[in-house]
Parts: sequence; structure tokens; C-alpha cells
Amino acid sequence: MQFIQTAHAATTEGHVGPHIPSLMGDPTGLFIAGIPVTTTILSTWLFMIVLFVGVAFFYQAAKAKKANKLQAIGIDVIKRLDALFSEAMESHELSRKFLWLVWGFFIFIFLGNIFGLMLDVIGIVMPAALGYIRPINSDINTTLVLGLTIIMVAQATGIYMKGFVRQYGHYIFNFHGDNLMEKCISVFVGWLHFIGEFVRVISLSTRLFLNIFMGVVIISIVVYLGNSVPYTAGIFEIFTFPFWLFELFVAFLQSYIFLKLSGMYLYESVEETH
Amino acid sequence: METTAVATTAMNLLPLVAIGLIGPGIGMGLIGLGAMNALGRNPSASKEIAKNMILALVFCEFAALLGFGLVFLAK
Repeated sequence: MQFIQTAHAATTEGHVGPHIPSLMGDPTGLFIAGIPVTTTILSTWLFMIVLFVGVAFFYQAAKAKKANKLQAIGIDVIKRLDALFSEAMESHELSRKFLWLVWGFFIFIFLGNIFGLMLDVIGIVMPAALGYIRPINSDINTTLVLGLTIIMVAQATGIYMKGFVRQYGHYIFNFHGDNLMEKCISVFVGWLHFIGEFVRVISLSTRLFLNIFMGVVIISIVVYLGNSVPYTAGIFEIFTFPFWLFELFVAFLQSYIFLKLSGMYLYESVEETH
Repeated sequence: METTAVATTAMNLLPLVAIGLIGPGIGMGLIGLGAMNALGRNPSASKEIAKNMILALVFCEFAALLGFGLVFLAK
């Protein structure tokens, strides 16, 4: 493992205007076994430490014999998530079947978004740290993994519940209908569904990624505009705060949308096709 | 040749984003209109309407974000 060699590229870009981050993580100059470590990876490790410590605290509290505050908070969170996901799946039994995956993703995405917004606060206190950290969901690789996992689990569940032939026969040889015309249309619709599975991966991952990425861009633009007012010593940077609050709302909304859509896809994999 | 290469940066493609924002703008307005109409007809269903409206708005917003995001690929 080599240590830090060069300063971060963002400070040496030398163009006028707000700093617009790249679509994927920027290299930090660190290498592990020849593989460059990007800013996203470093932030994800940081986030994993925070998340695992938090989960360990909640686990200890849940195992405790006498009731305490942390235990009550944990039970409340789980109850709310249960209600949210039962509503999204429209069935309590089905939602319990996938809770390990979808609740885990919800907690990961939501806390990851909040963590990314906290990184902005770190950037205000310590601007040099911005070369090494970045909101974890503002990298297309992270969200692509999340979307791919959901669709792969949905497909695997479909094969397990209905069998391989029925699961994929529904896509390719979908002869459903009364007359020849309806059968032709059904075959075409089945092919569209097959393409749709790939589009689902893209839409699921790109939606989350673009929303968080645009949050980063908007905040950097507002910071730049606040700094560019003359004779005010950057006091107008305070107008970043409402946008930051809006990003908090987006952080919750996007994780909820992810939960809702993955619930829909998983529900489709379980239900009987006609 | 070099000047044209410099001109095709992401920032110069921002007018295209503005064109891409027209459609989602109209769509989001229509969603709001539909939600308000539904609320006027059935005020007791406000919670259900708000939830579905936000869901539809997020789908619509995605089109705008896609236009914004594609510009970053044109470096």
C-alpha cells in the first residue's frame, strides 16, 4: 500500500466556476494491490465503521434484559419500517419474506444519504478533507450494485417459486389470449417484459444516483454563487442551508422510492402469472 | 478544430438541459393539477393522494434528472 503521493485533482483543476464532481469517484492517490482507491470507497469504509458501531450498540440494547431508551428507539424504527413495507408490498407475509433484504437496503441507503450530507458539514470545517470523501450514493457503481442485487434476488425468487421454465417461458413464449391477434400481442408484450428487466436495473440505480448526484451539484453551485458576491466575505453561503434541508427530504424520499419499487419488483416475482 | 473541441464542454450543453426541463415541468404541473382536483372532489383521501402524488412526481422528476445527467457524459 502506497501512501498519499499527490494532491487531489479537484484543487488543481484551475477552471473558473463551481467544482462539478465526476460521475464516478475521484482517485485519492492511494493504492491497494495496484487497484486505485477512490473517494467513494474511502467514504464507504468510513460509513461502514459508523454503521457497524451503531448496529452493535442497538444489538447490545436489544439483548439487554431491562428496557432502555435505545431499545425503545430500535423497536419503534422496526415497527415503522414494517408498516411502510407491508403497505408497499400489500401483504404482511410477503413483506416478512423479504425484510432482510429490503429493510437492510432502506437503512443502508437512508443512512448513507444522511452520512453524505454530513460530509458537506465536514467539508465546511475541513476543506482539505473533500479530496478524500464523497457521498456514497453519488457514485454510479454503488447504486448499480444495489439495483442489480434487487433484480437478481427477484429473478432467483421467481425461479424458486415458479420454476425455471414457467419463470422464463412467461417472457419468451407468452401465448396468452383468446384469438391469434391477442396471442401475437402477448408474445410481443412478453419480450417487452424481458427487456424491461434490464431497464429496471438501470432505472432503479440511475434514479437514486442522479438524485443524490444532483444534490451534490446544486449544493456546490450555491456555495460558489454565495462566494462570488463581492465585499461580503462569503456570508451568502448561508443560503446553502435551505438546499441542505431539501436534500435531507430527498434523502428520505429516494430511499422510500427504492423500498417501494423493490417491493413492487419482488412482489411480481412471487405472484402467479396468468 | 481545437476551439470546437473546447466548445463542447458540459457547461456549453446546459441550454440543452433547459430544453429537457420543459417536458418534466409540464408533467409535474399536470400531476399537481390532478392531485388538487382529486383533493377537491374527495378531501378525506388527502393522505392517499399526497402519497401517490409524490410517487408520480418522483417518476416525472427522473426524466429531468436524466437530461441533466446525460450532459455530464458529453465531456
